[in-house]
Amino acid sequence: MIKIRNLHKSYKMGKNSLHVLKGIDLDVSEGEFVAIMGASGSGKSTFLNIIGMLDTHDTGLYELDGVKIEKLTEKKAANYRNKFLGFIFQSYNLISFKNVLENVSLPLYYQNISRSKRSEMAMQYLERVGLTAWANHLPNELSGGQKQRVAIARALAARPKLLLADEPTGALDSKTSREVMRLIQEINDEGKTILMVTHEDEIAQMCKRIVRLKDGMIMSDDRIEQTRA
Amino acid sequence: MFDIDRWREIWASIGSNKLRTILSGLTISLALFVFIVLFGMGNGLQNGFQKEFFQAGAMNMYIFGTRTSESYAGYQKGRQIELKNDDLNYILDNYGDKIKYISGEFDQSLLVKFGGESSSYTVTGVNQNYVEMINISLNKGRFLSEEDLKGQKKSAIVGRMVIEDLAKNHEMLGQYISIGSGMYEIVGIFSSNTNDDREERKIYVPITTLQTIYGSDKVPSITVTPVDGISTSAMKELSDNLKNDLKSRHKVSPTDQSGVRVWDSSEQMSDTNAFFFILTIIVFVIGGGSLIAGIVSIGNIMVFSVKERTKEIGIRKALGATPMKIISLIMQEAILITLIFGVIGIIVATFLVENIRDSLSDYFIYDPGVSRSSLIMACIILFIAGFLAGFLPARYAAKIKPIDALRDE
Repeated sequence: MIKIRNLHKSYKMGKNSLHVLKGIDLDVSEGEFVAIMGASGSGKSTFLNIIGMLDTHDTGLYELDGVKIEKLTEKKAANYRNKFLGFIFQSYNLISFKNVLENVSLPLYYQNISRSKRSEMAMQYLERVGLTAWANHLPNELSGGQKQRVAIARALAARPKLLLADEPTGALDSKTSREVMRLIQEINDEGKTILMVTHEDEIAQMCKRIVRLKDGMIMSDDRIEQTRA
Repeated sequence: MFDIDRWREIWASIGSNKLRTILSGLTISLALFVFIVLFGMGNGLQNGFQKEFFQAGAMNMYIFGTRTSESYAGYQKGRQIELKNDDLNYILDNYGDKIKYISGEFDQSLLVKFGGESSSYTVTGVNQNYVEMINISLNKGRFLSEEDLKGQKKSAIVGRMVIEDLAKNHEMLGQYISIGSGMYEIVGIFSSNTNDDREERKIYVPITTLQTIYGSDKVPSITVTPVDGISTSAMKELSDNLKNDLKSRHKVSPTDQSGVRVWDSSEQMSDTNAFFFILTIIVFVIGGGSLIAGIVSIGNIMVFSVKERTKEIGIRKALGATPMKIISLIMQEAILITLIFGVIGIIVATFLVENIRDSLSDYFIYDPGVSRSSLIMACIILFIAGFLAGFLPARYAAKIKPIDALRDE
């Protein structure tokens, strides 16, 4: 699913350049559930952003589902994101003036799917996360856990090949975190490939593989016994 | 482009900032209002001027002979040039296509008697077209006819004041009046459109009649009304050509300033045209200025709106919105706001301007109005305005990097 070879990324900060990723090699196959861990500044978010085509790498190889990702135009990147990727963010990133159903159907809108078809599909995914009753509510009427479930439904709605989660439980209490993790585990059980950035060990243990980054390099890469949430 | 979802998105975005949208929309309304009202008033002023100064006769040229001031072709200087019927025919033959009306004028100051009263009046011999060339209207009867001229009839058209002086407003139409040594039938009574007493003390008779009486084919002066819509330069050219041709016919030196004089209104015309040109520029500067203020204002809220929606735009991009989709979202919003409020401004202003009619005629503003073409132009300007107002913010929005936007807490 993912093939990364010798990936480098540096940011220019005035005259100095900050070398964030210093030659990363990673392979992720279909159905995997990978936690990317590391202290802040280890480059884990940058790594996830590059995989998510929200940012670009400098040198090295990045292949997603057999497609070489490099020098993408904005338009192409947008289309790839839409087709390949689902995002789950720590701060949910729901659009506040759109109701839950509209939020979930938004990626389908960018796939040029008709309105009625969109709502129908969005409803299916809302059902999947157990929020059909909240379809016509605005995001600020929901609790944090509910918001994150809406965000998950939205990420799933585009039927992506890869789900990218950036600290999905970072803003949630431990009970809600478990609920959300249970949902994500179930989605993985259904065969979806998931990459998740986290700094919490407990959460990382719920994945199937832990990749630890330090100073822009992979420290360790272990397959683990998954803890069920 | 016109899918319903886009409109719902725009509507939601406008709805989330109603007050701000309305306030800056009103600047566009105001701009268009000012523009249309100024434009309409400018037109009204032009109409007013035209009504006041460009009456019948305003474009007339007057041709007359004077004494020469140079000796030429064997003639001494100081010779009096006298125009003749032939000259009038020559003008008509050679410049007929540039002339609407032409008439010779034969002025005589004659004693006029009616009843027991008598007084001296200017009696002018003219042809049947003359009524169209000067600013008078017939109160009763008719003007001279072709038969009057061909038959050299003793028909007279008498000014209103002549009637007042001589007949104390008794019915005079169809009666006979003694002019000079002949008796003339009064076939018409006229008044001046500008209430000019001097004009109303004139009497018009067939020029042929006067020429016969005085045994002459002289035409002391010739009045020419150029065709409608003639340009100032074409008028000047016609007047120069007439002068040069008549000079050579009468063997006057081409360099002689005297001999044949042609007076035309091209100078007055170009002054008035310059005035309206300046007026138009003023209208466009003020109207254009307020329009630019409106564009800047809409552009401003769109920039704010984009800044405020940075995160939302980032989310959209992460979910697969292409830059084009973002640009068209912002542009359509700007164009929509501009169009809605602009059209409100246009409608209100048009309503106002069209209802003024003659209520401001004391201020030289008469029947102001805006033509359909300038309304269409205003709408096109509006569309461009919306486009401009939306373009920069939209481009800014399209350049937002989703990663920066999502980091923006």
